[in-house]
Amino acid sequence: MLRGVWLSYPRGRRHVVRVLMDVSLEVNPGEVVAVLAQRAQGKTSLLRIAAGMERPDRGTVSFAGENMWRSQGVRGRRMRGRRLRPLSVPFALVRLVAPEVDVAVGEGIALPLTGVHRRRTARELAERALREVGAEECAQRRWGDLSDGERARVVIAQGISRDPRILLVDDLTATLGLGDTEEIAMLLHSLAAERGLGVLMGVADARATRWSDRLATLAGGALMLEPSSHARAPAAQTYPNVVEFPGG
Amino acid sequence: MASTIQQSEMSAGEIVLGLLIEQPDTCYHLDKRIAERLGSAQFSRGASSRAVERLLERKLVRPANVEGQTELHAVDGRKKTVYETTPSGVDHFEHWLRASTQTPPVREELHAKIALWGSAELPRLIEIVREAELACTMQLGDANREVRAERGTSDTSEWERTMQLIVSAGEATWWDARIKWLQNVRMYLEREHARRQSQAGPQRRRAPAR
Repeated sequence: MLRGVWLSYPRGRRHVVRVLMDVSLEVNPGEVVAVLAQRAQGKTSLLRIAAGMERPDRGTVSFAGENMWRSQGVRGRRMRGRRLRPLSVPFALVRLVAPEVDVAVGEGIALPLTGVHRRRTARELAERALREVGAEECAQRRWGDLSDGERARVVIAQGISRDPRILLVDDLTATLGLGDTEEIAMLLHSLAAERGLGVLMGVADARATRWSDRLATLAGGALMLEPSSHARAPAAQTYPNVVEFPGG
Repeated sequence: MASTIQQSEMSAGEIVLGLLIEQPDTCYHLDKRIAERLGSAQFSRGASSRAVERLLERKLVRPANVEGQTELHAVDGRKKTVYETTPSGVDHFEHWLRASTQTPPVREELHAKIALWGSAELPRLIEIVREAELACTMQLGDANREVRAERGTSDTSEWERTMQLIVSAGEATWWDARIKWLQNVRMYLEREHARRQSQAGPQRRRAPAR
């Protein structure tokens, strides 16, 4: 999905911060890939690039074999005909941030869906998502009343309510204790397996990597990925593979 | 814990070689230099003389000729031998220094290499650290998979599951700390290398363009 990605930004007039240097990574359906990195090492940038929310300086970002950003050249001219509409790019990026609107949790998940669905359908989808993450009793409560563990589940529910193909998770477990961290990691793993979802999660703590299928570490702009021959084959291979991803 | 001591003893030989290359010395002083350079916690007193014995057997060190004498008198009047490396000892050391570190990365060995590395050739040291980082990442991945395999099959009580969780979290934390240490070392070395490159820059501009 990411191949040879570079990202840097200037700091002051003389320095350049290289956030990502020649980073390559792919996520397969049904697979959880965890990226272990300390703070300010490019986790969030990596996830945003993978989600198509930020464009790298160099390298390709593709989904189902298609380059997300307009490419140059003869091949690019063919792709240029297709516009990338936000709603059809099946990524969901979740972070632990309070929603902008202070409504009940269920309502908060349903609201963004009403652009595409009828109101009742949106509410049903929201409730179903909350059930899937084991947070159905949070539906009527507000963000401010939830524990960190419940908040993590709620943002995951929000992410999957849009039925993405890839879920990008930005460090949900930083403030969680042992038990909660384990549960969230297990939840993501089972969601990936059950839905054929690809999960890319950035974590600052190795405890959260317990349930990942493949592991990478990121520091100083360099990503080190477990060789796929080394890791066990992901669960995806047992699921009908509708979406094609670039080979590893 | 016994294996940790064994591994320390294994590295002690290379460490003694490295120090002797820098400066031929007695076992007594070697112990002190090791403590200064690498921290005393890792090596017991007398580790040097054991290492020197093995090195003598393998002809990697020999008694030195110090001003025609092969012995110095220590403070308490007893005679101590000064040792130096042989050419094959130097070869062995250089080879060890540049070789990739063992898997799983032995912290003591990495410490030793870093402590003994000369100021030149940073890229190779960075490469060694990078390899160690990847090796640790793979170890953590393996540990994760092992735990998952066990947890899937056993029919355990809640108490046992809690204990399993604590133990596996402990292991994850251990690898986490190691990976972060290696990352920080690598980034520090990379910045240092970049700094040196930029200092050498003005001179390089005078070189003919390729």
